[in-house]
Amino acid sequence: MEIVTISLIALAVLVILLSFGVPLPYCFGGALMTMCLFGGATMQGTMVWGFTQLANPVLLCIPLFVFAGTVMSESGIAASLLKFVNIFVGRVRGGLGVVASVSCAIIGAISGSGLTGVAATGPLLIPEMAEKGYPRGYATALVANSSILGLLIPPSVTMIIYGWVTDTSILACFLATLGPGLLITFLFSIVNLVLARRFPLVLDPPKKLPEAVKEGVACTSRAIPALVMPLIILGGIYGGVFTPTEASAIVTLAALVFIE
Amino acid sequence: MERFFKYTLTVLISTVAAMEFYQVVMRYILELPVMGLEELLVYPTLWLYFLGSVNASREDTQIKANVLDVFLKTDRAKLIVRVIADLLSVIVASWLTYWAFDYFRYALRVWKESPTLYIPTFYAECALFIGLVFMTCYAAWYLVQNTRRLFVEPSSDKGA
Repeated sequence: MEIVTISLIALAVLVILLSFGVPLPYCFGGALMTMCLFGGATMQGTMVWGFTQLANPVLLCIPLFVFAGTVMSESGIAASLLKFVNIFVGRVRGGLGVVASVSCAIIGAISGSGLTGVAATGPLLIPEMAEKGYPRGYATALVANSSILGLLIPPSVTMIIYGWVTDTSILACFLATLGPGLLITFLFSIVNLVLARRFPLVLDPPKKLPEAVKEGVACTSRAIPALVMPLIILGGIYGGVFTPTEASAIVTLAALVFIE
Repeated sequence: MERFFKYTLTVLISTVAAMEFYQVVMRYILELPVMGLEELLVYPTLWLYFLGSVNASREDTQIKANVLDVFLKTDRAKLIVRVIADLLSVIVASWLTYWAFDYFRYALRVWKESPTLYIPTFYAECALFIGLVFMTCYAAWYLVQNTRRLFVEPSSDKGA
């Protein structure tokens, strides 16, 4: 059978298995099975090659970054981060929307995953935004859309997999999406500030300077670990101090040690 | 079983992170790179992957798309689709396990050793077969459970 034909059949099998709700590993296993049974692919060679790929240390970044992100989001760091960003934009009309975008970007820069950003910021921000006068659908859409920043701002799990599969430099992959990630964060913030003019928003009452400074210092000290993590990861990788896998291990240990 | 996975997976991921951290400290701070640490790292890493996958199969929390469920109205129809999905899972898992066993025998026969520390790589390679055996067993377990629910339990087909 032609390679194109068998590839299309394998793709169809993959889609059918996915539709039925077969677990993801078996969906790809089914596609592989199709290619072997009808396309003449040899499993002996595939197993050896597959095992070598699994032993690649680059792949280890994924569980470690996700683990670090989960530890940080479970520890309540997201709440401190939201308060920290809120110090700067809380009094601005539409500032809470900016908090959502920037927080998702920072959490994405720690965990490399979009879902962690939603899980960490969504339950806190969406009710608060609804309370302050944002339509609930708008608040949900903003947080959901901002979550993709976790996939763009390095370290990104998607980029690690792309680099692993295509044998591309992980550093280059990270750098490729850094600019678009920051640009989208900026654009989300601007669009949100424009759209927020339509909503009957309730702004925080102005605070006295000593009170504001005291609150700012408290929030900043609690948010420092989350703010430092992206600097450690990106600074270490681009500074040539450590590899992405080593960066993920350092962030994991730092998350376990520094986060309460 | 839950406690076993909870502690084993925590120990494995912490070990892997600690080993990488140790390498960074030795290489960049003390300037004494540790030879063969990457070879050692392969063992906890592969066991972490496969035990994690076995745990996901045990909890039935592997990622699934479940597209058909969106269009189905009744619980019974959803259960039928679930049984078909379980059956397909068992077929694919059994086939993968067969080839993992073939690889297991190859690894046992060749008995490769790591280039620096001469540790047999078989101890990491066997994780593939052992992991898939357990994953197949859990897939079969859920197939039996859901088939029993489909045929034995009285029909409570009143819509989703």
